[in-house]
Amino acid sequence: MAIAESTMVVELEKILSPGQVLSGPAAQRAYDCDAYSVDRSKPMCIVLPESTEETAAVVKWCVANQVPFTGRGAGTGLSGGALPAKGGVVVSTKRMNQILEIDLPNRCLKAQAGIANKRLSDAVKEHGLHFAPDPSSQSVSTLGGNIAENAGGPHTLKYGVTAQHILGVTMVSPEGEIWELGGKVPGAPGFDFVSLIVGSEGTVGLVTEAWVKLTPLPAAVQTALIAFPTIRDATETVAEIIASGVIPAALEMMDRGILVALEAAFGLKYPEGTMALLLVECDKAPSAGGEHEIVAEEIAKVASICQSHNAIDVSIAQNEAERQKLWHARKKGVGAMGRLAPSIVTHDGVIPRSKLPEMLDFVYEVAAKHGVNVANLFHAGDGNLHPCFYFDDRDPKQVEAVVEAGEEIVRRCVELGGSVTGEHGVGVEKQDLLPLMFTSEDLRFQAMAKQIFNDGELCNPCKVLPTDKSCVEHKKRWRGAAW
Amino acid sequence: MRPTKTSDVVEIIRAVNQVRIVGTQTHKDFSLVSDSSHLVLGLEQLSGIVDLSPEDQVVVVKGGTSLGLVQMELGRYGQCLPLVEWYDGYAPTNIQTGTVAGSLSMNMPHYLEAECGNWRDWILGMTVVLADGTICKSGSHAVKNVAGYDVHKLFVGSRGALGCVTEVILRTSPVKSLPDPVVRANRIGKKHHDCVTWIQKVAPAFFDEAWNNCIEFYASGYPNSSTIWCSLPQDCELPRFPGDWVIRSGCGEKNLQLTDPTQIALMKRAKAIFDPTNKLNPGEWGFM
Repeated sequence: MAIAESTMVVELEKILSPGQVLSGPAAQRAYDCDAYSVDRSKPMCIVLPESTEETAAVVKWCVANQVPFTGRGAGTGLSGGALPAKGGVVVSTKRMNQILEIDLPNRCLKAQAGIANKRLSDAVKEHGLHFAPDPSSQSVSTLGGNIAENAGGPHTLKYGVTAQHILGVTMVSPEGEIWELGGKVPGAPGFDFVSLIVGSEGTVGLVTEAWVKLTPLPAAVQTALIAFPTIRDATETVAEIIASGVIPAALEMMDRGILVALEAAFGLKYPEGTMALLLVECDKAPSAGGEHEIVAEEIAKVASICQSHNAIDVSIAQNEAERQKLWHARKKGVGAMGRLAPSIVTHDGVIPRSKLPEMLDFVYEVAAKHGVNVANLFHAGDGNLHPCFYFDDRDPKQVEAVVEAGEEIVRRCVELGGSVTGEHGVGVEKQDLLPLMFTSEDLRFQAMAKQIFNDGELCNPCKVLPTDKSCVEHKKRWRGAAW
Repeated sequence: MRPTKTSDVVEIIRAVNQVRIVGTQTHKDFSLVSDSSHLVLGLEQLSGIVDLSPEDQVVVVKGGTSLGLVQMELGRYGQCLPLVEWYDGYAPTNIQTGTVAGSLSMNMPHYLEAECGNWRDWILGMTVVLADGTICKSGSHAVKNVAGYDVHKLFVGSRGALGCVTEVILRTSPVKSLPDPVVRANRIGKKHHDCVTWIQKVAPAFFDEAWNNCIEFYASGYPNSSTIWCSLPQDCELPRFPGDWVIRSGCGEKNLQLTDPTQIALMKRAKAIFDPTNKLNPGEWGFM
C-alpha cells in the first residue's frame, strides 16, 4: 500500500462523493478502534457508502490499489473486529440504514446492514412480530455488526443467536463482486454458506443487506427475580431448571458485587442476605390458546426448583411495569459498576451450564488469589460468563493482576469444555487464545473455510485466526471491554 | 468397508483414490449418484454415544450412530433431537434408522423445522476426517460459542463432499417442548411403481397454492414450515414458485438442480479447497 492519503481521498471521492469520505486526524482518531479500546490502529480514511453498489465500487478500488479495508457498523464490538489493523479504508455502514422490504405474509424483512437492531423490531411491532436477537447494544448496534459477530443477547437461550434468524445476505466479496446468498425460503440444497458468513467477523466480505426472519411476539410472558443466600444455590439451580424441561426465554444471573453496585448507583435494594439473583423469564408464542396457563405453569415450576435450592425470595411480576422493574437489576448492572472503580474489564467466556457451580467458585478463587475485585452479571442459561473486574488502571500492579486473573479464567473455560468467547468474538483480542481450543490442524481447517471467500489479505486483515505475521501490536494490558 | 473408529477412517481415506461415504443410505434415492463403482465407506459401525449431558442439552455421538439410538438414549432424560418422521408422499419414512452423520449431511426437511430448527441450528461442533486424512475439530460443547469460524455448519447438507464426519456435538431439546405437528395429508391417487418423491419448500404465502397443486396425488404437507412431500409419476412436475426449492428422489441428475451461479461457484471453490482431487463422494453434486 504505497498510495498517499490525499490521493486516496481524491480517488474515493470520485467514486462516491466528497461528503462520503472522511479523513484527517479527528476522523482517524474516531475510527481507530471499536468498543474494545485497548488496541488501536488508524485508518487512512473512512468511506460512507449508501448502497451495495457503492460498497462494491470502493472494494474494487481497494483491491486495484492493494489497500486494506475493514467494515464497521456502530463500533460497539467488544473484541476489535472493526479495528483497521493495517490502516487503509474503513467502510462504514452508517448510511446504509434503510428497511428495504417488509414481507409480513412470509414473516421476513430485508434491510441494509447499517440499520440499528432495534429498528427492525420497532418496524414490525404493530404486527405482533420482532427480530429476536437482542444484544444489550441493540439500540445502536447494527444488523451488519450483529451478523459479523453472530450477536447474542439475554433472550438467545430460547430464541437462538443471530445465525438462526438470518435467511439470506447480499454482500460484497473481498474482490468487489456482489453476491446474493440464501433468501426468503431457508434450507435450500447446497453448502450452507450463510451460516458460515454469520459470525465470520467481517473477514469474508462485507454484508450490505440481509433478509431476516421475523418471530411472533410472545402472547404471554412471566418474569421472576429470585434471591439466593449463596452463589452455589443459584448456579446449581440453573442447570436443574433446564434439566426439568423448561427452557426460559431468559435466565440471567447477578452476584453480590453487582447488587452492591446497583444499590450504590440507583438505590435498588434486595432481600437481606442475598448473595445472588436469578432473573428468569418464561414466555409462549401465540398458538391455539392456553398460552398464559402454560407460562404460569412454567414459572411455577421454576419457582419450585428455586425454593428447593434455598431461595430466600421469589418475586413474580404481575404486570409490565413490575416486569420492567425486575429487569432493572440486569439492564443497569454494568452501568452501576462505574461507581465501584475507575476501570472495569468484562470478560466473555462460556462453559457448559452444568459447570457453572465449579466455574463460579473458580472465578472467586482466582480473584482472591490475585487480590482483585470481581462481580458477575451474565447469561447463566447459556453458561456465558461475564466476570467484571473493577480496579484502578493507574496502578500497574492491579493491571497485572487483572490480566493474569483473566487469562486463568479463560483457560479454565476451555478446560471445562467451553470456549474463549461466547458472544463478543475473537477479533484481535483473543486471536492468541484460539490455540487453547484448537490444534494447528483445527485452525488450518478454519483457514480453509475462510479461503473459500477470502484468499487475500485485504479484507479485514489480522482478525480471528492467529497468524505468524503479527500486524497488530497487541498491547495485552488487559482483555475484555474496558471502561 | 465399515470402520469402527476415526483412525480407521483416516487409513481408508488415505489409501483410496475415490470413496463413497454413506450412512445407512436411508435417502439414497435422493442422491445424484444412482450406481457407484467406488469403494463404499459405511459409517454405521462408527457408532455410540460419547457423552450425554441433559442439563447442558448436549449430546456427543459418533457419526454412524443411528438416530433411533440417539433418540432412545436422550429419551431417558426427557430430551430429543426434534426430528419428526416425514412422509414420502405414500408411506412414513422412518428416519430413525438413518445415521447422525448421514442425516446432517443430507439435511432433509422435516416437519418441525419452523418451530425447532434444523441441523444447522443444533450442531455445536464436529470431528471430521478431511480428504488428505487429517483429523480436524470445530466448535465446542458450549451451546453458545463464537470462537473462530463455524466450519461444522458448512458440512450440514454437504452430502459428504467435503469430509467424513466421525463425531458430532449436538444441542438437544426437551421432549415436552415439542409442538404436535399438524400435517395436511392427501391420500388420493395411487403410488405407481415408478413414483418419485417431490419435496418442495415455498415461501409461506405460497403454501396453500402449492398444496392445492398436490390435490390429485398422495402427499403430505406441513404449513408451518411451508413444505410439501408428494408422490408423483416419474415424468410429472409440479408448478414452481418464486424463491422456492425442490429436491427429488429417483430422477437421477434431476434430483437436485442448483442454478444460482454464485452458490455454484462458491461450492466449486469449497470443493477445490477441501477435496482438491475429488476423492470424496464424487458425482454427488453433479457439477463438481
